[in-house]
Amino acid sequence: MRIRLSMVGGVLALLLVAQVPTTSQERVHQLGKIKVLTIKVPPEVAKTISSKKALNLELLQSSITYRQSTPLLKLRDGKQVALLPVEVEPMPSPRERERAKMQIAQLAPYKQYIQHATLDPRIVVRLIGSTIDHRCCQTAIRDQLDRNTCTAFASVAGIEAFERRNKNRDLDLSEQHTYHITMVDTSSTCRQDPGAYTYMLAQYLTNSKNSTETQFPYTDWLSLPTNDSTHVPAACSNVGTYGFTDTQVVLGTDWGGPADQNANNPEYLESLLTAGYDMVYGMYVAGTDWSDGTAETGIIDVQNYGGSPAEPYGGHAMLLVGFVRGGSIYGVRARYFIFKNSWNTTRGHEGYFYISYDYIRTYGKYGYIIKSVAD
Amino acid sequence: MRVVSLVMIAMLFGLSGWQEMGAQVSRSDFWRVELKEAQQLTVNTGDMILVKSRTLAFVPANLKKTFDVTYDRSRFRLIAEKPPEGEGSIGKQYYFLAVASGTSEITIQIKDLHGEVVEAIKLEVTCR
Repeated sequence: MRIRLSMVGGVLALLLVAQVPTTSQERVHQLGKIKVLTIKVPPEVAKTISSKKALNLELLQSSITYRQSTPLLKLRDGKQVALLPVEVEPMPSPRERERAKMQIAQLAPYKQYIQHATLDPRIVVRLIGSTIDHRCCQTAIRDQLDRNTCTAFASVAGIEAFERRNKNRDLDLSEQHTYHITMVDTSSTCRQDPGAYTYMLAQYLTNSKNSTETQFPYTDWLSLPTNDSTHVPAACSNVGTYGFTDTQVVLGTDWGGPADQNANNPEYLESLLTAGYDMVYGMYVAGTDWSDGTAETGIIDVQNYGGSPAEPYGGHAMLLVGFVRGGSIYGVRARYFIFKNSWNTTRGHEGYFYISYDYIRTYGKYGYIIKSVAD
Repeated sequence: MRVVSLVMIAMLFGLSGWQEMGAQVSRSDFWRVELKEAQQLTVNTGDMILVKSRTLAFVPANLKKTFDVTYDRSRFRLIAEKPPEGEGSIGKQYYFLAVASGTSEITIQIKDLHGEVVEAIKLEVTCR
């Protein structure tokens, strides 16, 4: 594969700090030819390379390995720096074609979820590891109105998508009932409306079951009765039908998640999406991208204030349904996750929000995937 | 019987001694205030105060709302600020350390997209 590496500051000198040998297992394949363009270097590398002069292509090639489709440059001190592939040649090498064929076989269980999926290796090799999009498998975008019920909407969206994908059923389940279950389990009320911990809904909807929107329709806050127990329709008061039988909670690093398989690791989230799972996901809210139009025109990203990430001022839950890796949006190359939000179709990209990998690394909290449902 | 009585007396002495020791240890209290309306609080220097703002639903109608806090920096030190727990709402939780005696106010403001204060709730703190 021919890749252009874009890095600020000078790839030239990178090479002198690069270390040649890496293990053969790590080296999935190497670059055939490098085109050196404008340079973009992470700050920690820029300092080291500022005094270097020469470019040693052989050294560079032998120092780059791949983790999935991300090229990694191994430095002399053992650190690895991820390089951004900004352009991939359309024609893959024979070796890459073979690799693509293998990946196509692995994709079989979830091929239907990949946008524009095709068996043409030239296209598939770009799709694998670059785009997974489950938007096609979702039910309609909903609206949580004026309440703190995002956790209920994200969880219900997760069940509906699971039912649609695995049982070919289009359901419209009750967010009102889900939130009521959550409030009962947290000794609160829908009227108090305190919000919830997203990952806990995996447990709540396993212990109690949900009903349909028709049975228990959603209302705004003002329409809720003062007494929570009186607003549960008789049809839902005993036991509902829809809920989980098996889920997997994924915690972020600040919440006790393991080193690799945690909610802040984009590669792990990619792997879950690639395996066909959506993820009910809770995150901090920070920065102005949510409110200044960026959510509608681009990607919500980490904003720096005085050299530090913006302080979070809230929390939000959405359904993680896809990722775009090394793709572009409005001409800007980016990596981002696709989330199904519950703010109607007038917000975000027709109801879906694009959130950068860095945002997830910085502000991701926890979530859960649905493995099986009861009905 | 006599032995048991002696043991009990010894235990009583021991307990009273422990209480005396406990009274000599200086300690700081931790106060938690949910500031939904104006309130008053009396604390000691060295106490920690967690002031929780009112929360708003994180929905489009509240996207332009921001939270701010004003306080007397000579009497309080802002140790940390955090968002509300869980998901669904926006707001702020401020951790203050009372560093000097006197009476002053901690005010949490909610501002609109123009920076205008739409709500201001005061906590009057007397620090001994």
